Amino acid sequence: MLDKKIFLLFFFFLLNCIPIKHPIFSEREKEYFVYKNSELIQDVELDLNLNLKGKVHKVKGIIIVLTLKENTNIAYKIEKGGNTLIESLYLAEPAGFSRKYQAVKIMFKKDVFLDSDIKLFLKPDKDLFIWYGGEADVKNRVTVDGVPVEGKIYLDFIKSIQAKDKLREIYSKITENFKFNIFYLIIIILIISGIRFFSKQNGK
Amino acid sequence: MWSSIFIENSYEIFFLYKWILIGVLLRILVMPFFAHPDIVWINAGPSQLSNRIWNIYSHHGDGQNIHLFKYPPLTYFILGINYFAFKPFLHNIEYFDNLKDFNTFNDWMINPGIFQSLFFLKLIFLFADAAIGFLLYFTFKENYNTTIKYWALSPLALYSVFMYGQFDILPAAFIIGAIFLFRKERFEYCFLLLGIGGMMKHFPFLTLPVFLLCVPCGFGKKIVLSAISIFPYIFLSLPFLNSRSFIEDVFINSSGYLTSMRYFLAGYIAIIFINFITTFFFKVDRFYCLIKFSYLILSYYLICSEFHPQFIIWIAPLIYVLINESNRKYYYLFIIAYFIYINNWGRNSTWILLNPLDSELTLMPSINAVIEKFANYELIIKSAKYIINILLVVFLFSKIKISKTIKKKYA
Repeated sequence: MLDKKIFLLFFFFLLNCIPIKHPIFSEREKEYFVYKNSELIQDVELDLNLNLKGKVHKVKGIIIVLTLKENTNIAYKIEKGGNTLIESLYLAEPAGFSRKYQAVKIMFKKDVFLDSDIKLFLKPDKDLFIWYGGEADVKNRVTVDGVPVEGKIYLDFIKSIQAKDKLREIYSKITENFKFNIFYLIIIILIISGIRFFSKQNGK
Repeated sequence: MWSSIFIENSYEIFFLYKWILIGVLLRILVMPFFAHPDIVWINAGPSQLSNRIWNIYSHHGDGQNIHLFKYPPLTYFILGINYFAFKPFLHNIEYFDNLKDFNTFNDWMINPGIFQSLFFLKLIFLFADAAIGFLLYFTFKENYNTTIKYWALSPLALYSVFMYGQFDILPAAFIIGAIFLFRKERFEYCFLLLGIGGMMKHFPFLTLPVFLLCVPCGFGKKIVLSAISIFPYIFLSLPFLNSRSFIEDVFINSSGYLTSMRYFLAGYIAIIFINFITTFFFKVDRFYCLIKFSYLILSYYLICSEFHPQFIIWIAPLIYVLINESNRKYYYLFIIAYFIYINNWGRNSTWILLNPLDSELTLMPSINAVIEKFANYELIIKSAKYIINILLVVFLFSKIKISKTIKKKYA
C-alpha cells in the first residue's frame, strides 16, 4: 500500500536527478599571487643526480607544482635555444565541489631536460594562482618535504620508480614495526579462530 | 530488551557472530594500510583535548587562524577522548602536541609507525560499524540472513570508513540505534540517540521530522521528544557561542552545503508533507514509514548533491536492509557506479589513500587522466551519478519484511 503511494515520488525524483553545485569559498583568494591568464616563463636548471637527505637518486623527470582554479587548463612549452622540445596541454582534473582551487603537478620525463639551457612557458586558460598564504593557513597549501612552496613555481623531481623496488620498500616499511605486527597477527588469528568456531556451531 | 542479545543461543545467534567476525576481519585487514590525509586533520583538532583545550574553536580558529576542525563540539570531545585513550599507542605524538608545525603532516603519514596509529585511531569506527551490524540484526530480524551478510561484505563501508578514514560512521551508528529503539518503542531514548548523532554531524537532524511524524503519540509528547533531541545540542553549543570560529566553521560552513540546494529544500518539504499525509490519513505501520522516509530523505540529499565519498555511509546500513533477491543485481550495479563516481575527486579519492604505504604512489596519474585519453570521463562520471540516483530510488521500492508492530497511539 505504502509502496504504491510512494511510487508517485518516483517521478518527483526523476525530475530532480540533477547534480547541483555547492557554493564555493572565495575568501582566501587574496592570499594568492594571481597571474591573469598570462604567459609565464621560467628558467630551469637540473642536476640529474638528486641528493635527498644523503641518499642520491637518479632523476626520472620533473614535476611542476601549481595551484589552479578548478578546471583550468594549461598550455605548456619547453624550449632549448629557441627550438621547441615539447609543446602540450595539461587538462586539469576536477577538484571536488567544495574546493575552488587545486594543487596540480605537471610531470616531464628527464629526456626533456638533458641540458640545463631550457625555458619553460606556461599559459593557463584561466587565472593562475600561486600560493603564498599565511603560515597558519593550510587550505590548498602546497608543501614539499614539509616546506611550503610560496609564491614561486616549484620544480620537484620524480625519483625513478621501479615496481620491484617499490614493493620491497612497502614490505620493509610494513615489517619494520615488529611489536605491532605481532599484535596485529594475533588479533587476526583470534578472529579467524572465532569465525571457524561459530561456523562449526552454526553448522550443527 | 537486551536479554535477547545475551541469552539467545541458537542457530541464528551463531550465524550472527560468524558474520560479525567476518565483517570485522575484513575491516581490520584494510584499517592500518590506507588513509586519506584528512584523518590527520580530523584528529589534529581533537588531539588538543589532551592539552586541556576545552574550546578548540577559540583556541585554534579565533586565536591562531587555524580552521582544522569544523564539526560540532561533541565530535571534538568524542574524537578527543578516543585520541587520549589510544595516545600511548600512536607514533610521533609530538606532531599533534605542536600543531604549529602541521605542514609536516606528510612526515607523520610516511613514518613506519603510521600503520599502528591508523589501526588504533580507526578502532572507534570499527566499534561503531560492528554496533550497526548488531543493531541491524536485532532491528530487522525478519530479514537477518541477508542483512548481516551485506553488512559484513559491504565494499561501501570498507572504502568510505576503513580506507578513507572519515568518521561519518559514528553519527550513522546513532541513527541506526535510534531506529532500533523506535522499534522497541523506547521513544525517549530513540530521540536522544538521534540528537546525539546530530551533535556529531548535522545530517541526522534531517530525519528528525520523519521521526516526529512517525512516532505514535500526541502533539504534546512530540514536543517533548523533539526537545529531548535538540536541547542537548543547544546545551552543549552554549559555551562556544561567543567564538566567531564556532559560528563560521560549524554553522555557516555546514549550512553552505544546503543553502544553494533549492531543489533539495523544496523536495525535503514535499517529502515531509507526503510523510504527514501517509502517516495520518492512511493506516500504515509507523516503523515501516520511518524506515522508508528516513531512507528517502537521506538518499534525496545524496541525489541533489555531488556528495563526498564518505556520505554514502549515511544510507548504506538502510541499503543493506532494502536489498533482497529481486534487486540484488541493482546493488552490484550501484557499487560499480559508486566506485566510478568517486573518481570525480581524482587522485584525492584513489591513489592518495595509498599514502601510508608509500607517498610516491600518490603521484600516479588518476584514473580520470588515463580515461580522458580515449573517452570523455566527465560523461562517464555524470552517467555513474545518474545511475546512483536512479538506483537509490529503485531501492526505495524494495519490500522490507517487517511484522507490523507499531500502530497504537501512546498518550
